[in-house]
Amino acid sequence: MSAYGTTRHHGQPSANSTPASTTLFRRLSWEGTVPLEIRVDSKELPANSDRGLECYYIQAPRVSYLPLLMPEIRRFLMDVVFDEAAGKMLKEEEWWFESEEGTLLKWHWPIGLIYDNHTISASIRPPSQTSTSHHNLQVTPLKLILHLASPPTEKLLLSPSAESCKQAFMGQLKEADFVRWGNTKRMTGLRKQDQDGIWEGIKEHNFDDYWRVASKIVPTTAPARSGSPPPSTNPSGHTRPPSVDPQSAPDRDNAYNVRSVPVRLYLPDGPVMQDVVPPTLEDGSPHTLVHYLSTHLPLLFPPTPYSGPELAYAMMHGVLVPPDAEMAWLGACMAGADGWVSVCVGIAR
Amino acid sequence: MHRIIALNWRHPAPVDACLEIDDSLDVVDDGTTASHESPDSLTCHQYVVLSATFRVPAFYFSIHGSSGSPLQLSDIVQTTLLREDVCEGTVATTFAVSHPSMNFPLLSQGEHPTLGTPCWYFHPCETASAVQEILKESKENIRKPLSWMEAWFTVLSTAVDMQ
Repeated sequence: MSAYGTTRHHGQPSANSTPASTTLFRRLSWEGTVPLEIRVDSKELPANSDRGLECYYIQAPRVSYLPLLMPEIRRFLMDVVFDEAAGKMLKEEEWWFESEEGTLLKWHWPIGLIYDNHTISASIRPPSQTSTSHHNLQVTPLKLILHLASPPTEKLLLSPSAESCKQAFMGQLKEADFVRWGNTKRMTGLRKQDQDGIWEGIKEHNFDDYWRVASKIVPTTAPARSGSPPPSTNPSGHTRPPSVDPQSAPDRDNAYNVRSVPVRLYLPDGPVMQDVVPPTLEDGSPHTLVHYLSTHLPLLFPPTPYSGPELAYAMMHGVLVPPDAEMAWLGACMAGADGWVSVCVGIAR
Repeated sequence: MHRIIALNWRHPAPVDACLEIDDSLDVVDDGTTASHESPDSLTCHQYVVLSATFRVPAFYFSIHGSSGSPLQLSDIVQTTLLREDVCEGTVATTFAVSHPSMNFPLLSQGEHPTLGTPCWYFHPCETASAVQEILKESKENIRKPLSWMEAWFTVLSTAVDMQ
């Protein structure tokens, strides 16, 4: 404990001038959940199982993955649906999920992305009788059908195991690192303990465990000129104003100094778009969401001046994002746990 | 870039199949795949795709048996696609082949960036530096320097038998 006082306060992962607003948005993104209704395909229920109870409801963290839910689903099936003999036959490596509309769900996508992707796909289908809101963003359970055998291997990546999920997750983190800095030094510089630890944070859904490691690789949003003041707080809990230390290690990691923000764009029925997203534009102004959208999807987001009706909307973590949000800030505060900002574009009704 | 070729098992069971190789690097012609009726015939779809993250080409492929189902990784390493020494010192799981000294798996699963189909691919991050080395050497040694893509294919063929 230094003479200046404690280095941790209010659950912030780091006392090095992480603004409270940054932590707030990171926590909000982390704690987002979506409702799932999981039903075993009735054709695959054995004859002697209890058909009345075959639906399992779960409020799943957006940052988690379907394979991580499998142990819980398995316990439910063993307890409630299958008898012991049938339960012994369950082989999780053959499980696969499908949406009500027959879309194959990707087990290596975060659950929040699966949910949002489903929402925007629905935006181009004929409206159902329950769509009352303008953007049809009601939070209804995503209905999944769980199949227990014969995965369509020609269309689905093999191995829905937690291990392969972890490798896919680590791969995404490394790619995000590369996109930001042109190298993966921050990721490869992590000790093995930290590399395992960040995935444990996902598995256990623990914000502090995740950010203990993530704070070493995710850019900061502190004002670009701040140095690294010795950790200190005054009794009211505010960090000291930035010192005049010219060393500025946080500057090196500042969100506005990346060469590109890791962003992917999802359309209702198209391939995923990924392009270079500099934090600032040529004129020095910050790269905003509206600029990004009107550059990449000018027909859906016509550049100003435009006074017609809204044609499409952009959603992240299930919420509409203000057009003047800065891409660099989004990359530091509202990325997914895998480091990527996922912008889901739906068609306005 | 896409082509379909036929592959063999490295130590094939005695089978008399006479396999032709469809070597065109042009647009896919599904009708002329060279796989045969023999149980050991394998079809390999190969793609060269630009990696959006690493901004270099990456080599994606998938291999199917005659029944149409994709090969598992343990079988892929036994076909003639990969050069024998590629897997030295590597650790294989059902979903990747990795070398302890490398940041990314050597060979892992991924979705084709535009088709969305499951494929295997060689991680592209080390590619750029390998290509640069080859280009540098080619400028010094050979009268006609290699183009970037030629150098890239050279790097690729240290791991893959390009036939």
